Amino acid sequence: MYYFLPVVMVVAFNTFYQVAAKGMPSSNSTFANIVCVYLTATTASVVMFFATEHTGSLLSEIRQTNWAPFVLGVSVVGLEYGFILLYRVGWKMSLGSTVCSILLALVMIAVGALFYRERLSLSQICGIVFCAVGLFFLNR
Amino acid sequence: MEKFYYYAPVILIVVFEASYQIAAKGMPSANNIFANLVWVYLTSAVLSVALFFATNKSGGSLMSEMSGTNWAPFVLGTSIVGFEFGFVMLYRVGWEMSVGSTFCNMLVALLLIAIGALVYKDQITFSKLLGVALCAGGLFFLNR
Repeated sequence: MYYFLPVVMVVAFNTFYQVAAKGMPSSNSTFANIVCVYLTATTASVVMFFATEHTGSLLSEIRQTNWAPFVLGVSVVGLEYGFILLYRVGWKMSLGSTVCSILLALVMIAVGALFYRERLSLSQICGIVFCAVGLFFLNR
Repeated sequence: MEKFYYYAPVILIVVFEASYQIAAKGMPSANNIFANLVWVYLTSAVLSVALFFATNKSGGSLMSEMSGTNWAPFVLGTSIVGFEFGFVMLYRVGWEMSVGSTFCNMLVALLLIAIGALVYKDQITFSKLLGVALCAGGLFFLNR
Protein backbone atom coordinates (compact mmCIF):
# COMPACT_ATOMS: atom_id res chain seq x y z
CA MET A 1 0.00 0.00 0.00
CA TYR A 2 2.68 2.57 1.05
CA TYR A 3 4.86 1.44 -1.88
CA PHE A 4 2.18 2.34 -4.45
CA LEU A 5 0.68 5.43 -2.72
CA PRO A 6 3.33 7.81 -4.19
CA VAL A 7 2.62 6.35 -7.67
CA VAL A 8 -1.12 7.10 -7.25
CA MET A 9 -0.26 10.68 -6.14
CA VAL A 10 2.18 11.29 -9.01
CA VAL A 11 -0.31 9.96 -11.58
CA ALA A 12 -3.39 11.79 -10.18
CA PHE A 13 -1.71 15.19 -9.81
CA ASN A 14 0.12 14.82 -13.13
CA THR A 15 -3.29 14.40 -14.78
CA PHE A 16 -4.61 17.63 -13.16
CA TYR A 17 -1.33 19.23 -14.26
CA GLN A 18 -1.91 18.31 -17.94
CA VAL A 19 -5.51 19.61 -17.85
CA ALA A 20 -4.36 22.92 -16.28
CA ALA A 21 -1.36 23.22 -18.65
CA LYS A 22 -3.83 22.98 -21.55
CA GLY A 23 -5.90 25.81 -20.02
CA MET A 24 -3.02 28.31 -19.44
CA PRO A 25 -3.81 31.77 -20.90
CA SER A 26 -1.78 32.78 -23.97
CA SER A 27 -2.57 36.51 -24.16
CA ASN A 28 -0.15 37.61 -21.40
CA SER A 29 3.53 36.86 -20.62
CA THR A 30 4.27 33.14 -20.10
CA PHE A 31 6.63 33.89 -17.22
CA ALA A 32 4.04 36.14 -15.48
CA ASN A 33 1.74 33.05 -15.46
CA ILE A 34 4.57 30.82 -14.26
CA VAL A 35 5.21 33.27 -11.36
CA CYS A 36 1.50 32.74 -10.37
CA VAL A 37 2.09 28.95 -10.57
CA TYR A 38 5.04 29.01 -8.14
CA LEU A 39 3.46 31.50 -5.74
CA THR A 40 0.44 29.12 -5.55
CA ALA A 41 2.82 26.17 -5.07
CA THR A 42 4.73 28.05 -2.31
CA THR A 43 1.46 28.85 -0.50
CA ALA A 44 0.21 25.24 -0.85
CA SER A 45 3.53 23.94 0.55
CA VAL A 46 3.33 26.26 3.58
CA VAL A 47 -0.29 25.11 4.22
CA MET A 48 0.75 21.43 3.86
CA PHE A 49 3.72 22.00 6.21
CA PHE A 50 1.32 23.10 8.98
CA ALA A 51 -1.18 20.33 8.08
CA THR A 52 1.44 17.54 8.39
CA GLU A 53 3.62 16.33 11.25
CA HIS A 54 6.60 18.61 11.97
CA THR A 55 9.00 18.86 14.89
CA GLY A 56 10.13 22.51 14.71
CA SER A 57 8.90 25.83 13.32
CA LEU A 58 8.75 26.42 9.55
CA LEU A 59 11.89 28.59 9.69
CA SER A 60 13.89 26.04 11.71
CA GLU A 61 12.79 23.20 9.38
CA ILE A 62 13.61 25.07 6.16
CA ARG A 63 17.08 25.85 7.53
CA GLN A 64 17.88 22.10 7.63
CA THR A 65 17.81 21.81 3.84
CA ASN A 66 20.56 20.82 1.38
CA TRP A 67 21.40 21.52 -2.30
CA ALA A 68 18.51 19.45 -3.74
CA PRO A 69 15.52 21.87 -3.43
CA PHE A 70 17.47 24.60 -5.28
CA VAL A 71 18.41 22.24 -8.15
CA LEU A 72 14.78 21.04 -8.21
CA GLY A 73 13.51 24.64 -8.38
CA VAL A 74 15.81 25.52 -11.32
CA SER A 75 14.97 22.19 -13.06
CA VAL A 76 11.22 22.82 -12.77
CA VAL A 77 11.51 26.22 -14.52
CA GLY A 78 13.86 24.76 -17.19
CA LEU A 79 11.41 21.91 -17.83
CA GLU A 80 8.35 24.16 -18.16
CA TYR A 81 10.22 26.55 -20.47
CA GLY A 82 11.50 23.57 -22.50
CA PHE A 83 7.95 22.25 -23.04
CA ILE A 84 6.69 25.68 -24.12
CA LEU A 85 9.62 25.98 -26.60
CA LEU A 86 9.04 22.41 -27.85
CA TYR A 87 5.60 23.29 -29.19
CA ARG A 88 6.66 26.75 -30.41
CA VAL A 89 9.38 25.31 -32.71
CA GLY A 90 6.79 22.99 -34.27
CA TRP A 91 6.90 19.58 -32.54
CA LYS A 92 3.55 17.77 -32.56
CA MET A 93 2.28 17.25 -29.01
CA SER A 94 2.28 13.44 -29.33
CA LEU A 95 5.68 13.05 -31.04
CA GLY A 96 7.45 15.66 -28.88
CA SER A 97 6.41 14.20 -25.52
CA THR A 98 7.10 10.62 -26.73
CA VAL A 99 10.63 11.45 -27.88
CA CYS A 100 11.33 13.19 -24.54
CA SER A 101 9.88 10.30 -22.48
CA ILE A 102 11.94 7.65 -24.30
CA LEU A 103 15.16 9.71 -24.09
CA LEU A 104 14.48 10.38 -20.40
CA ALA A 105 13.96 6.66 -19.66
CA LEU A 106 17.36 5.94 -21.32
CA VAL A 107 19.11 8.79 -19.45
CA MET A 108 17.61 7.58 -16.14
CA ILE A 109 18.97 4.05 -16.74
CA ALA A 110 22.44 5.53 -17.32
CA VAL A 111 22.20 7.86 -14.27
CA GLY A 112 20.89 5.00 -12.07
CA ALA A 113 23.75 2.72 -13.16
CA LEU A 114 26.55 5.33 -13.01
CA PHE A 115 25.70 7.28 -9.86
CA TYR A 116 23.50 4.99 -7.76
CA ARG A 117 24.91 1.58 -8.74
CA GLU A 118 21.46 0.35 -9.74
CA ARG A 119 21.47 -2.82 -11.86
CA LEU A 120 18.56 -3.49 -14.19
CA SER A 121 17.24 -7.06 -14.45
CA LEU A 122 16.45 -8.60 -17.86
CA SER A 123 12.75 -8.30 -16.94
CA GLN A 124 13.11 -4.53 -16.28
CA ILE A 125 14.99 -4.01 -19.58
CA CYS A 126 12.13 -5.89 -21.34
CA GLY A 127 9.65 -3.62 -19.52
CA ILE A 128 11.37 -0.42 -20.67
CA VAL A 129 11.54 -1.65 -24.29
CA PHE A 130 7.83 -2.62 -24.19
CA CYS A 131 6.93 0.81 -22.75
CA ALA A 132 8.98 2.66 -25.41
CA VAL A 133 7.37 0.70 -28.29
CA GLY A 134 3.92 1.06 -26.62
CA LEU A 135 4.41 4.84 -26.33
CA PHE A 136 5.28 4.97 -30.04
CA PHE A 137 2.01 3.21 -30.98
CA LEU A 138 -0.05 5.28 -28.48
CA ASN A 139 1.08 8.48 -30.18
CA ARG A 140 1.04 7.40 -33.84
CA MET B 1 21.30 25.57 -37.58
CA GLU B 2 17.52 25.12 -38.07
CA LYS B 3 17.85 21.50 -36.90
CA PHE B 4 19.57 22.75 -33.74
CA TYR B 5 16.57 24.96 -32.85
CA TYR B 6 14.24 22.00 -33.49
CA TYR B 7 16.17 19.73 -31.10
CA ALA B 8 17.22 22.37 -28.51
CA PRO B 9 13.92 22.09 -26.52
CA VAL B 10 14.29 18.27 -26.40
CA ILE B 11 17.81 18.63 -24.97
CA LEU B 12 16.52 21.26 -22.50
CA ILE B 13 13.66 18.97 -21.32
CA VAL B 14 15.77 15.82 -20.98
CA VAL B 15 18.62 17.62 -19.15
CA PHE B 16 16.29 19.42 -16.71
CA GLU B 17 14.08 16.35 -16.18
CA ALA B 18 17.18 14.28 -15.38
CA SER B 19 18.47 16.93 -12.94
CA TYR B 20 14.92 17.07 -11.50
CA GLN B 21 14.93 13.30 -10.76
CA ILE B 22 18.47 13.44 -9.30
CA ALA B 23 17.46 16.36 -7.03
CA ALA B 24 14.19 14.62 -6.01
CA LYS B 25 16.26 11.63 -4.90
CA GLY B 26 18.76 13.91 -3.10
CA MET B 27 16.15 15.81 -1.04
CA PRO B 28 16.99 15.75 2.71
CA SER B 29 14.91 13.25 4.68
CA ALA B 30 15.54 14.53 8.24
CA ASN B 31 13.16 17.49 8.03
CA ASN B 32 9.55 18.00 6.87
CA ILE B 33 9.15 17.46 3.07
CA PHE B 34 6.98 20.57 2.65
CA ALA B 35 9.62 22.78 4.30
CA ASN B 36 11.94 21.67 1.46
CA LEU B 37 9.23 22.24 -1.15
CA VAL B 38 8.91 25.87 0.07
CA TRP B 39 12.58 26.32 -1.03
CA VAL B 40 11.86 24.62 -4.36
CA TYR B 41 9.02 26.99 -5.26
CA LEU B 42 10.71 30.12 -3.93
CA THR B 43 13.70 29.25 -6.17
CA SER B 44 11.32 28.70 -9.11
CA ALA B 45 9.38 31.93 -8.41
CA VAL B 46 12.58 34.04 -8.20
CA LEU B 47 13.93 32.47 -11.41
CA SER B 48 10.59 33.06 -13.19
CA VAL B 49 10.58 36.75 -12.15
CA ALA B 50 14.17 37.08 -13.48
CA LEU B 51 13.17 35.37 -16.77
CA PHE B 52 10.07 37.59 -17.02
CA PHE B 53 12.28 40.71 -16.99
CA ALA B 54 14.82 39.09 -19.34
CA THR B 55 12.12 38.27 -21.94
CA ASN B 56 9.67 41.18 -21.41
CA LYS B 57 9.41 42.82 -24.84
CA SER B 58 5.96 44.42 -24.53
CA GLY B 59 7.07 46.66 -21.64
CA GLY B 60 4.07 45.77 -19.39
CA SER B 61 4.74 45.59 -15.64
CA LEU B 62 4.92 42.20 -13.88
CA MET B 63 1.81 43.07 -11.85
CA SER B 64 -0.27 44.02 -14.89
CA GLU B 65 0.80 40.86 -16.77
CA MET B 66 0.05 38.68 -13.72
CA SER B 67 -3.42 40.16 -13.33
CA GLY B 68 -4.27 38.97 -16.87
CA THR B 69 -4.20 35.30 -15.80
CA ASN B 70 -7.00 32.72 -15.44
CA TRP B 71 -7.72 29.66 -13.21
CA ALA B 72 -5.05 27.42 -14.79
CA PRO B 73 -1.83 28.59 -13.01
CA PHE B 74 -3.51 28.04 -9.63
CA VAL B 75 -4.55 24.45 -10.48
CA LEU B 76 -1.07 23.91 -12.01
CA GLY B 77 0.61 25.21 -8.82
CA THR B 78 -1.47 22.91 -6.61
CA SER B 79 -0.86 19.92 -8.93
CA ILE B 80 2.91 20.52 -8.92
CA VAL B 81 2.99 20.33 -5.11
CA GLY B 82 0.97 17.08 -5.26
CA PHE B 83 3.14 15.28 -7.77
CA GLU B 84 6.42 16.61 -6.47
CA PHE B 85 5.50 15.37 -3.00
CA GLY B 86 4.63 12.09 -4.75
CA PHE B 87 8.07 11.90 -6.44
CA VAL B 88 9.96 12.65 -3.21
CA MET B 89 7.92 9.93 -1.43
CA LEU B 90 8.48 7.55 -4.38
CA TYR B 91 12.23 7.53 -3.73
CA ARG B 92 11.82 7.54 0.07
CA VAL B 93 9.77 4.32 -0.02
CA GLY B 94 12.48 2.65 -2.11
CA TRP B 95 11.65 2.88 -5.83
CA GLU B 96 14.76 2.74 -8.04
CA MET B 97 15.51 5.81 -10.16
CA SER B 98 15.70 3.77 -13.38
CA VAL B 99 12.22 2.27 -12.90
CA GLY B 100 10.11 4.69 -10.77
CA SER B 101 9.74 7.62 -13.18
CA THR B 102 9.13 5.35 -16.22
CA PHE B 103 6.44 3.43 -14.30
CA CYS B 104 4.60 6.67 -13.37
CA ASN B 105 4.94 8.18 -16.87
CA MET B 106 3.42 5.06 -18.44
CA LEU B 107 0.45 5.13 -16.05
CA VAL B 108 -0.09 8.85 -16.83
CA ALA B 109 -0.02 8.10 -20.59
CA LEU B 110 -2.64 5.33 -20.14
CA LEU B 111 -4.85 7.52 -17.92
CA LEU B 112 -4.70 10.44 -20.39
CA ILE B 113 -5.80 8.09 -23.23
CA ALA B 114 -8.80 7.02 -21.09
CA ILE B 115 -9.66 10.66 -20.16
CA GLY B 116 -9.24 11.70 -23.82
CA ALA B 117 -11.73 9.00 -24.90
CA LEU B 118 -14.26 9.54 -22.08
CA VAL B 119 -14.20 13.34 -21.62
CA TYR B 120 -12.88 14.77 -24.90
CA LYS B 121 -14.35 11.97 -27.12
CA ASP B 122 -10.93 11.24 -28.72
CA GLN B 123 -11.02 8.21 -31.05
CA ILE B 124 -9.55 4.90 -29.84
CA THR B 125 -7.68 3.47 -32.85
CA PHE B 126 -6.12 0.00 -33.27
CA SER B 127 -2.69 1.62 -32.93
CA LYS B 128 -3.68 3.14 -29.56
CA LEU B 129 -5.05 -0.20 -28.29
CA LEU B 130 -1.78 -1.89 -29.33
CA GLY B 131 0.12 0.88 -27.50
CA VAL B 132 -1.98 0.40 -24.34
CA ALA B 133 -1.35 -3.38 -24.43
CA LEU B 134 2.43 -2.91 -24.90
CA CYS B 135 2.64 -0.28 -22.11
CA ALA B 136 0.61 -2.51 -19.76
CA GLY B 137 2.99 -5.41 -20.57
CA GLY B 138 5.95 -3.09 -19.97
CA LEU B 139 4.57 -2.05 -16.55
CA PHE B 140 4.18 -5.72 -15.64
CA PHE B 141 7.83 -6.48 -16.54
CA LEU B 142 9.14 -3.32 -14.81
CA ASN B 143 7.66 -4.48 -11.50
CA ARG B 144 8.34 -8.18 -11.62
